[in-house]
Amino acid sequence: MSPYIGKTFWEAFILFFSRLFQYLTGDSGSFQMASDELQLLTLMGIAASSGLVGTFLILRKLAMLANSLSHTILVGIILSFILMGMGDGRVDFTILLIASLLTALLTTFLTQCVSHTFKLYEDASNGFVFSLLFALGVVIATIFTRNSHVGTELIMGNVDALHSSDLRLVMYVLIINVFLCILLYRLYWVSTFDKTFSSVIGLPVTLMSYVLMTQVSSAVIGGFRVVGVLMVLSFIVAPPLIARLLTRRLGAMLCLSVCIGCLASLVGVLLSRHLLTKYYLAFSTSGLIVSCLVCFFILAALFSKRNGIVCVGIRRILSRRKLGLEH
Amino acid sequence: VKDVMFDFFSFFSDPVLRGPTIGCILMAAATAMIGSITFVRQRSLIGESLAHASYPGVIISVFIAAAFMGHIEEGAVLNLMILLGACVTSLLGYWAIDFLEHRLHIASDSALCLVLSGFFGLGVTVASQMQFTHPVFYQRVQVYFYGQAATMGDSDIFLYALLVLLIALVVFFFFKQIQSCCFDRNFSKSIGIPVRFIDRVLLFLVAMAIIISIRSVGFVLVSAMLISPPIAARCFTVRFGKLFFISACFGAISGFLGNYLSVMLSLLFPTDEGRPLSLPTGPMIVLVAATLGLFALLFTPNRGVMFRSLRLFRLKERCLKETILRFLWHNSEISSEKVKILHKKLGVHSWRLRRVLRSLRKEGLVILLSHYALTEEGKTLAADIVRLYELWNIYITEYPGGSDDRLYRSADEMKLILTPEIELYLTKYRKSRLKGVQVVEPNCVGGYVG
Repeated sequence: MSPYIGKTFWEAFILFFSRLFQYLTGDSGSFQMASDELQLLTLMGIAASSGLVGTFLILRKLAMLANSLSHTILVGIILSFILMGMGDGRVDFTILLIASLLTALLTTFLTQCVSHTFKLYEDASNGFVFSLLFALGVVIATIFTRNSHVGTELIMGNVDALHSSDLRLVMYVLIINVFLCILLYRLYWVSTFDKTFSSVIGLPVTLMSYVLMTQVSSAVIGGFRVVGVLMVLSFIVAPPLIARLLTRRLGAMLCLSVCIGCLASLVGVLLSRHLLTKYYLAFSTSGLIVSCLVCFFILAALFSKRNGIVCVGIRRILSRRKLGLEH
Repeated sequence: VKDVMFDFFSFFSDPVLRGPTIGCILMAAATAMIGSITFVRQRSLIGESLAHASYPGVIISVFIAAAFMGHIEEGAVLNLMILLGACVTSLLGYWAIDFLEHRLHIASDSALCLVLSGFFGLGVTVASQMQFTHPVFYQRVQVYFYGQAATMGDSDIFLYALLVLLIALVVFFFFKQIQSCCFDRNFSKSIGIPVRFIDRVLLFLVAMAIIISIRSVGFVLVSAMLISPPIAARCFTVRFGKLFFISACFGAISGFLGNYLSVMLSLLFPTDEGRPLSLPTGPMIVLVAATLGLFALLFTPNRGVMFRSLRLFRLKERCLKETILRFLWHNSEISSEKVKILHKKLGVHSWRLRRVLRSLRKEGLVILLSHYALTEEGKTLAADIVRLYELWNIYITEYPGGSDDRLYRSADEMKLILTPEIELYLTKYRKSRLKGVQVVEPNCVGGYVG
């Protein structure tokens, strides 16, 4: 039985940290992870890896490519199933990893290919490719599973039916992403901010963009069973954008976006318990997290020191007054 | 009903099939028309964001309807409310994108993506609550993910036809303004067109197109209907007005074919344990539209990749021929071993060089004795080409206003650009420059001089 049932926001908050402390100090040998904690850790893992890759994605102005990746992931999964043999229909880690690789390569390559060979606008070719692949994926999936509502789960995710294997998948994805980000940090840095320079000094710029896309699609794969492919987009886009409003340094932005993602996950999970306990409102946890992210964004947009609307307004008023005094 | 093979016309007459067929055609034509505007403005993906932003509107309006009605009611009232809600939130979504881009200076792609996922998340939050309180209504809303054309009735068609008519009328009346705003904003501002107002009209049109199409293709795939038909139409025309018309035609064709195929192909698959397979209509429409677009991109005579690469290949061939002729004119011969040196010097494959040499021999411009050499005819032509190239060099460096972004063209193109007057000027210039320098003067032969 979960200890979090019937707890309000702050009670659950305190309980979570005390249990965490208890686990870390190793007080009780038979520590049982509650389903809420499983959920929380999974969501935090997704938020962390999305925040990392999202930062580079935002800075490279490729956010809509993430959108198309999140759609074409369906084709990637189907393809990898066909490649690996249908098996027993179980989704295991290797299959998903191959799927994410395939998706990233396929989508990025096709999008570039279409816009180059057909001389189309980049956004049009982007939309063209992902909608074609997604429709294809839905039709094929319908034929295989004989269920015409196959995509709904893909889009909505299912945060309340998590298994420990989901947590393991998310953690693997997180470890890979953190590892790659640390390893390729300087490369990413240079090739993000000055593409021409980095190709002049001989860095593999194209390869880097493919690696980034693979990382993004692995983050999407990690998240799609939990929060669905569309809401994982907010995990990818929102925290870096918030961080971008607050800081101008790359390292700080990476750390901030990871922290913001994790914080939103924590608040979202606790809030959903709180609302259920206090007001009997059964809001979806992932939906609440996205709403939290949106709220954070609005707060940052209002009160950020550099770009925030309030601060800019105050600065403008002050400078006007100063000008008025001078004249 | 599904045991018989339907014939073509029963799709328009049968009371069950009529609704989805006509509904899909109307929807696809309207969306394709609006899509051609967003396509030429290079904002194709805004449809994707606004479509997802319409989700919370659908949910909230159904929520309100559920609170007032209490029971599900098939009819125009609920549909109208859904359309209204979707319209309101997609407009809100546009406002949010605009705000993010212009006030917070966020790059347009990030703004689109944030609005897309943020609004969708808000919708999911409300929907999850409705799942428990009003499960019947929730089921009804889930349909809008991928669309459900099959349940469209005559009243829906009437509603959609009205909306499509509205869109067509607005486009018709504001056509000139829209056209000039799409292609040159500053010009249209200067001649007194209210650009901001036209922007709002366009936005309103996009929102209309989206709310019409979420019923039949679902908001996950709306953007495809906004993008694919204009892409196909763009291959056939360069005129904005024609683009509208052709794109609407492609939309209508894909709307009909997608619906038709989803019914007919479903019959081809055997039923599995009594569960008949029904292919989803929305994705089928999108597939048909995308396939049409792909075919147009590949095979149209003007912009199609097939013919374009063929033309490019021919041009390259001609340029290579000219280069070889020039080389032969200067060096008077290439022995067979020298072919190797030549292909290194020109940077082409030796097999390609040999092939071009063979075709030159066939044309009687080059002969192969112990070595490759020019025939009399070849010499005349080569001299001509050499002279043209030299004049061209002077033209792009010395002639006032003669700088060209492409340095080298084929001789035919040079002939078009170097008019007799320019040529006379260049020849004089060249002669004055060459005075005192011993250079072999190529013979000036060719009928186009003077």
